[in-house]
Amino acid sequence: MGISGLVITLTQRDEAAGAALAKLRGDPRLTLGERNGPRQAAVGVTPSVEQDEHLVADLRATEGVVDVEIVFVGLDETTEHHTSPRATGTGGVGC
Amino acid sequence: MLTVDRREFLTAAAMAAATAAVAGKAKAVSLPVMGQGGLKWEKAPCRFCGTGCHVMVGTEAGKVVAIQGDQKAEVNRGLLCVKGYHVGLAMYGPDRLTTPMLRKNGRLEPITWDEAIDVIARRIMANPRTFAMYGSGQWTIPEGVAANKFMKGGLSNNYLDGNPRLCMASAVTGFLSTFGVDEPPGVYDDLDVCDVAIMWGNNMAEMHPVIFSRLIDRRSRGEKVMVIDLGTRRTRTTDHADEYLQFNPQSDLAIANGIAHLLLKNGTYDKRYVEKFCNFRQLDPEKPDVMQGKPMTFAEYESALAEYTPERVEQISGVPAAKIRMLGDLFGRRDLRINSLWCMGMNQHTRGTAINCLVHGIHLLSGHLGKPGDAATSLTGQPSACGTVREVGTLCHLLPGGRLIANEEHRKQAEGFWNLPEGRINPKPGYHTVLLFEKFCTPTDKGSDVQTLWVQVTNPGHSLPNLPKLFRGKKDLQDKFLIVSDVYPTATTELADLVLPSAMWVEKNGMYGNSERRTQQWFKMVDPPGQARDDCWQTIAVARRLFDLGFEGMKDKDGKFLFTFTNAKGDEVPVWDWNRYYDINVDEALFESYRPFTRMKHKDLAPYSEYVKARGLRWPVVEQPDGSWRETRWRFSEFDDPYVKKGAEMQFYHSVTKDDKALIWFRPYEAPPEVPDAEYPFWLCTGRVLEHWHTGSMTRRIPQLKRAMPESYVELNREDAVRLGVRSGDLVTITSRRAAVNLPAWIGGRGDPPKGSAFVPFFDEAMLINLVTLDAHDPFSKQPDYKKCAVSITKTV
Repeated sequence: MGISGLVITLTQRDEAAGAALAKLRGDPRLTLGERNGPRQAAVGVTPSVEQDEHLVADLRATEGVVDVEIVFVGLDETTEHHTSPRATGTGGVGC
Repeated sequence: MLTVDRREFLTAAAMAAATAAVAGKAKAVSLPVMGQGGLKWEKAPCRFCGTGCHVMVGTEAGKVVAIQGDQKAEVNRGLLCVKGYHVGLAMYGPDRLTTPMLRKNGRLEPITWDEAIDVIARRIMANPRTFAMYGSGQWTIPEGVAANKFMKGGLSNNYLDGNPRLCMASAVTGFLSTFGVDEPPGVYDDLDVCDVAIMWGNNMAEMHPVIFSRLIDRRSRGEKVMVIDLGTRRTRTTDHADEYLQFNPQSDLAIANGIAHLLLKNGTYDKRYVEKFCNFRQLDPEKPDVMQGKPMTFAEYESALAEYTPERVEQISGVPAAKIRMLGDLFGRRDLRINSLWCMGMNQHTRGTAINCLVHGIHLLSGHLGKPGDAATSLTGQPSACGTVREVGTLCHLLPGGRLIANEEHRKQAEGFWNLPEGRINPKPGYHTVLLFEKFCTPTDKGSDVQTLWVQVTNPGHSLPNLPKLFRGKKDLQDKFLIVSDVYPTATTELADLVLPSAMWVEKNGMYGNSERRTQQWFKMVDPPGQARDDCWQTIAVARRLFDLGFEGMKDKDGKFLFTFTNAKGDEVPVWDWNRYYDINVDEALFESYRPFTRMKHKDLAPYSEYVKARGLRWPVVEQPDGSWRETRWRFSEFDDPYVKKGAEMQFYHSVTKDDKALIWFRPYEAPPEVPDAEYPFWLCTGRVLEHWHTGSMTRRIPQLKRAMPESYVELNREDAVRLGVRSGDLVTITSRRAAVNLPAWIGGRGDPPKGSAFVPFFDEAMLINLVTLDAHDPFSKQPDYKKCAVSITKTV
């Protein structure tokens, strides 16, 4: 389960911001909260942390969205993705 | 599975954090708290860099389950970077070390803690003078206090050094040379009010993103902040810069001299400030290895700078003369507030002390130092490089509180504070990092006197330069014994003879000291996994075993064990017994034993209990008549620093010249020790990326960060890539005089190096770029230069 607190910054252009907001409202992964000027509070809930990352990427690609800040990360149940990064050898070839 | 209650709770917490963030810092939002026995929130500084952001850590059932930026923290005001938001996951990699292991017949095999402690103690008993310890700015302050006392006060052995030697030692020698005392006069508040921010070889957007956004966000409020990026390659910082001035490696020395030259030539230097608060210095050609140098007159200083005309500086640096004049003009304006910021670019430099001094010098010469926004600020890479290493003094030549091993009076003071017999502390400084590892990798019969090395909280098998010489050389030496305390397997544990599993971050109590003199505290929140234990306990347990074996040095002058602690009733608590370690707060006891050391250099610390209440306090922290404790933001400035005499305006009260004046140094441009040639035609610069911290041993175990930046790469210039027939993703071989490494190429990626140069981030253990780098170092700080060496680059066949 991926749970993120998000601050979505919308464009200053009213029409584009309105269209972006409508799109955000229709996204079942998002719950929108307070808005202060162009900054919109939101919570993203997805079935996995990986899909949570996709959500953020989708938001960043949405027309009328200028920026997406992640301000909270629920860390539970993410260890299923864990693997050791250790390599069997190094990239060194000359020593 | 995630329960509904917890899901609802985390969703509410996420919304609270987002709401607080959109509302701005003025609106503090209380975090929801689950019922009794449920999730609990506590404060802690972030585990990673030296910025010192505070996080709120949500724990439940013995596990960290949520992280958010701490709204009450002045440093980050609720924000975190991508590493900070995932810091909790750093503890939950699948391969945490959980059992002590001893190498037997080439394999690491589990042993008990008792056996492990015994192995170390008996090696020390056999030859205490050939034992060494290596730590880092990842040590908490109490861990550093314990290690320092154990080595210097217990073993009479100064073979103790640490990773900050590789990280910010040149900043230290720069501050000492200029002000007579270490650490920055200014604070992060300077970022909130400066008009001009100059990045000296400093990719702050990636390396210190939270305070960089603190600077850049001012633009969104309509404030004008000019950012000048002086760099050897385009970075994310360049994207935010008003001016990008690309300079040839090492030529920052010439640029700084060029600015000083113009200030004098144009008569725009701050004459009153200079006459009142500054003296001039240069190195003594007859004693070039003496850092204090010799005095020079203003006329001599002016004459020395005469050759650094804008045109001459352009020849050396590649920066157009007009841009050098632009910098000179900016520094010459009294109506602007200018903040210089730097980190590894100026510190990992064979003339690191010199460039640090020169940047301080142009701020002093122009009077741009000591007022809010006018500051020369060095940033650090490790969470407690300042607190534990620079202040506690866990380097081979230091004692706590800015004291020197070589100074008899300082040794006597330390012996007094530690209640040691007179003469216990060895007067001979130990080996700096490069020399320590060179000795460790040299056979005993060839003159080495370092046989056993205990590494805690760092990864030198990855982070040292010239690894074939300084680390891999240990591999075939049977008489060497490497002990490593760490949380994960690393390039260092690969060669270890004894591996000890450590507790990390909120699995233990701790204190850090960040880049702006802020001392921070947190409490243990969860238990470490398996048999992992606190590094501080490990040190004390070895000390106690030595005491039990009759090692005299582990006794104070009254015959008591060096680490004797008592509870509130006055009863001795055997903290060397792990089951009793948390019967008292050992951190508090060690911190209070260290506090008296800090006053000599006016780095006063408050009682431990004050840090429990605060999100850190910046020293000197001075008690007020009403019993409260006041921190200091601008050191040496009368309006804020309580140690400045009334009416003095500025007082550099640890002045080298003992007259309360700072030193403006002249240091010439000097070429780097290795430059590209026909055989090795490229410059190689190494560094970091946003997603990974230091050697990546923690961040590469965080799935989100690993996915975002899975492996290292080499940034190439597009023209070079075309000429080499290399496209993004192709494997190339980087070869230096030391070794060769294969990496995938990235062209037009995050950074853009100029033609003839390449950049490689060093976080990836599978592509150890430090096999290639050079171990040449600054003569005073002994800090190596990771930013420039000569390499060849070929497409891997």
